[in-house]
Amino acid sequence: MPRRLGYVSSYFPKEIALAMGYVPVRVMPAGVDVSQAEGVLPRNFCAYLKLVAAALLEESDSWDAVIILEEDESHRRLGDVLKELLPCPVITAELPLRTDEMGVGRFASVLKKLVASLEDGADPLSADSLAEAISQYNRLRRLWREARQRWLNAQLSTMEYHRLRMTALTSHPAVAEESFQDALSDVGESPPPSASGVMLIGGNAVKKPLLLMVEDAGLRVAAEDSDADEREFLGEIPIREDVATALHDLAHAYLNKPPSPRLCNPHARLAYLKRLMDERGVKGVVVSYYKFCDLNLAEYPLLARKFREWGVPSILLEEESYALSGQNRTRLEAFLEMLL
Amino acid sequence: MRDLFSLRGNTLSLKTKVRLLRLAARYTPLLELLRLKVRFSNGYRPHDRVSTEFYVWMMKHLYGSPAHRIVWANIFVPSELFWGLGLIPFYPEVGAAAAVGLGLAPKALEWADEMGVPRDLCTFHRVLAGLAGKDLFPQAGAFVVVNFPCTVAGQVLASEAFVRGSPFFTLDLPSSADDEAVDYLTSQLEDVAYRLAEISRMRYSKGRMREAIRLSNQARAYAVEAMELRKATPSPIRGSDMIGHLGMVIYLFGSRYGVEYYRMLRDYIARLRQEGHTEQEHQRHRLYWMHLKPFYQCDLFHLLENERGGVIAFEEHTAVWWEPLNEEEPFRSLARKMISHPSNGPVERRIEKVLKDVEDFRVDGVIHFNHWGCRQSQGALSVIRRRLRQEGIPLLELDGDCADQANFQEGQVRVRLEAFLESL
Repeated sequence: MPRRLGYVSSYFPKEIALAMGYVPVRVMPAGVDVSQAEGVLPRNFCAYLKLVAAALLEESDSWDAVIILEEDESHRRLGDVLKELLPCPVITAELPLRTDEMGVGRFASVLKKLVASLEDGADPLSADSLAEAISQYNRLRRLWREARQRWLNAQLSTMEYHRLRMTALTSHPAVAEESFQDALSDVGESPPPSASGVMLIGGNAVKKPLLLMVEDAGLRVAAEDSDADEREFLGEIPIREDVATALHDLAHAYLNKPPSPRLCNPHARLAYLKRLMDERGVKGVVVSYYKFCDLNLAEYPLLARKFREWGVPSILLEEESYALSGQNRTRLEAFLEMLL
Repeated sequence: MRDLFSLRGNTLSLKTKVRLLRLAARYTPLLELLRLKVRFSNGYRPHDRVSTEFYVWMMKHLYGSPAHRIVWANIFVPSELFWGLGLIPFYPEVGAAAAVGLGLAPKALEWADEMGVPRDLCTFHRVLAGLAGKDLFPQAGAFVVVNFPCTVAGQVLASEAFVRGSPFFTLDLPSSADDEAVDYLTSQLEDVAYRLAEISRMRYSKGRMREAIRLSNQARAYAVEAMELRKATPSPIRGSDMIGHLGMVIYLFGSRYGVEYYRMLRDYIARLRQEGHTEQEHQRHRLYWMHLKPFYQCDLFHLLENERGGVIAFEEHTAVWWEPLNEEEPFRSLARKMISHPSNGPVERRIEKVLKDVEDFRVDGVIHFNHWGCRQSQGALSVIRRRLRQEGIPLLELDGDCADQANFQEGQVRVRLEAFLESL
């Protein structure tokens, strides 16, 4: 049985885990029962991380290791709690806020320590195994970029693109590569999309029910600013001959992926969102966050203000579970009708 | 603080309070009157006089100085950094707590709602956003934030800096305490210091920074003595009042006021002990208070202290947790101070600190005030609960809100508090 490593953060360079003989699996909770997590986490704790905890606890015996990068205080405290509850090693690691050379150097050093923590019972990390893992993920990312372009051209349905994305994040890259190749070989030519474009902004990922609602309303999802799409690192990482340089490259690549709210850098974040909106012809923005998720929610007033200035209507939906609440469904319907 | 904001509880309308606050800030004679009132009235403790004088000084300088000399920071950025640069720190979270004390929170929260600030965020930061949005806070030459333990502060202040067009600096706080981590933070502190010096047009002076470190160490020495004196039974002073003085811990280290304040506090406690007096006569249960307290008027402490005889022997956040600083290595020392904060890093550090305090202050039980919206203090509370239970230390978790009275269920709190004290 391959060893499964669950990780909680899009900033974790999964190449490291693959090179050490693990199958890296991004924890992407959907319909899980949160009651066990409710017992150990406060009532007003980030609802998304509560789902993550529930998903990890539900299959507690199936993980060989879990890695939590400390994106914020809630991630850190989630690590404290899970260390007590999961039978496998739970490793928490710093995630620098700085993206400059100082931050990259720090992150490379953190990754080196993380490798040492993972080494117990795993394959040792070598320059060759890391180069192989990097090259495997580079291939997968190339396919992902192509799939995204096909999806934007309406040659791939949103649901299919969503499925492929999920496979890429939760399966062995070889398995995901095959899925992408199959899906891409089937796509044909089709006219460019005519429906108005909506940008979805989410935390870890935008929920499937939300995507479905947008498309059912006759609108087109033009961009998804979340850790599972636009903010997932999809670039290429050079192949190196030594581990230290490769770790430095990984640290640089992941830290400098498209800006997320955690960076506390409104200039970079707004510039990136504006570019995305202009490039994709976005007519409206749906912001969907889990309740009590400070990292994302604290940024919202500024985003809303800028969207107003740019003349783009926006709506904020806060949810406690994966499903859309009746009230938010009604609010969203009214918002989408306005965009038609 | 209570002296400066003793307007609370009277019948003045909110509008009048806001006007008075603005007037007081802009017309210094009013502040002088207030200062003189505190200085020459009976009933004020010596350290209260110092804190009032300090706040009067701050109001004058925050509202009377050019913007480039004022730096906004969140509460985990050490004040020595700013005093050592000749700058005036403004901690808007302390400003928000003061506004709560004045009874401004409901209006500030309403303003925050109008601005679209989500209601699930920490209410301190919502109050802060509301007040800042209405321009009630001073101008800012720059912003400095540290990303841990309170993450949301960085986000809120980053937005505020963006809106004001002010330079914004973040300090990336490592969770590990090894030399490499200290080097990382030291470099950032040096960098921020030189850039602040540039922005403020204040030439960086080694001597001034050394002086701030020296003053911080002097204040620290008095604060440690005061802590030692508080270990006595019966407890010489009321802990509930000390939690209200948290602003002193945040603002004063590195300033002359800090030395004066902690010297006065130490002398006051020593005198009480010498004379066999205590601030709280009725003392049945010695308690340790974790996290903050409601800053609005409520009966919580009247019930706890006066009715039920619970005495807060010590509180988590007024403690001196750091080693003396080194004048020759100011930034490295400050880095060590920041990294070693018990709330930084894994929860074990906080637990160790609590267990040590429980033993040192010989308390019978622990109360953790669960401020709505605070993830850092409550996120790993289940781990703290289990550890305290293993050690046989009773823990009461009181749900409430430090800033928004609407989230404070007084009846429920009373029942839980009474049951807890009976169980002791």
